[in-house]
Amino acid sequence: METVVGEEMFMNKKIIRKTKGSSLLEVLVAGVIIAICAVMLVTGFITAYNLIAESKYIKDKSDIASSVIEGATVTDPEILVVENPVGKITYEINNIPYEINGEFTSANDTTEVVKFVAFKADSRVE
Amino acid sequence: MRQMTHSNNKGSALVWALVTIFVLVIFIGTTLTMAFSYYNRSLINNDLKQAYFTARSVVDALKDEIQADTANGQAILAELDTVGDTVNIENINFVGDSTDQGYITATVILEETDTIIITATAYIGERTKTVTLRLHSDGTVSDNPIMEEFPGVTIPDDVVVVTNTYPIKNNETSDIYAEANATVMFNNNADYSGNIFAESGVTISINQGSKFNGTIYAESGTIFTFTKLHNQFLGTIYVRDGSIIKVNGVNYTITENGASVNVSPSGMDSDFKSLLKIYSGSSSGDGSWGGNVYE
Repeated sequence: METVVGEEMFMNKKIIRKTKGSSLLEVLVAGVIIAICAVMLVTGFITAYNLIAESKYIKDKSDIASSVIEGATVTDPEILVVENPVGKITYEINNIPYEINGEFTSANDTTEVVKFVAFKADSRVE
Repeated sequence: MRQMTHSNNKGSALVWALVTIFVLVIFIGTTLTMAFSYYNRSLINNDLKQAYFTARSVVDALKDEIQADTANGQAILAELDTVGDTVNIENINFVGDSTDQGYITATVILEETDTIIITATAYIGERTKTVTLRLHSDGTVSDNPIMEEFPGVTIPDDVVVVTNTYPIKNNETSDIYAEANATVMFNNNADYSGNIFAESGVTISINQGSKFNGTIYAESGTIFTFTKLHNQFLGTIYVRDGSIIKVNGVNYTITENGASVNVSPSGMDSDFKSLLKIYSGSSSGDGSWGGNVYE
């Protein structure tokens, strides 16, 4: 039995619409749309992945660097510790200037995305 | 006219495609938002940590100055006459490091006659961290004879208190507090690098071969005996200006002479004389600010 789909009666004229298969143009347009969506998807996920990876890197290095500032032994070769013994804090009390000599200790990763600095006065009592 | 009834699926593919894309866009958007949030939080945590280190550096530096009774510490204490007095530390800057350590404010408040509160707040970007330290005056330390002659010197809690005789052996680093008339003896070939706090009347006996890289705080009246100093007996002996110490049976008066010292009468062993330094620390007389607690 033959089934005719898409026939419409209009003013005694039979209009036949093509419903089977797709034209080349439709296929191309669909392909482009799918490709754009795919690129968006992949790009979005890659971006998200990179961000999460970077966040984890910062968090991990930050934990290590802050521990080093607190006096822990450096175990991560990517964390660099620099001590600058010629530092000082300057301040004023009632517009009279004062300064405290001491040293800076900084701990940073190789990219310097993570970097912490602390100051210790020369007058500190260990 | 005969009616035909059948479900109409025309255009549903487009709807499905739109729905799918919409869902995916929401999913990606959510994922990216979470990732950005995680990333930002890591950066915020970094700023907060640096703000904490900055604030604590300032608090520690002020605390150290007060505890060590330096001129800076005395300048702060001089402003704290009555309970409730507040010293505002202004225009705080770190010199010698280019890292952004933020904007800092600090105050020192005399909360009680024996309690000082030091507070510092650091601002990095929109992040803020405050560190507060409570510093207590430890009146018991100022009663110590050594503290009277050497104000500002801190005697560790784990110091070894000697009332009789204490022999120093090899590779020893313990700090020693020798009470009046006690004896501290450097054994033959001893190697010592700690601190000795000697009250008046203490005898410090140095046997041959002894090495020394520490510090002796010798009250006036301290007695030193030795026959020959090892060339690595290189520590420092602090005395007050005008102190009298007995070295190998002779009383010498030690006075300041520029960067060096004068001994009277002359004739002291030059190797021993080179170890002597005049102690110049001072105290505000308010007692030692010792114990501290972060809040």
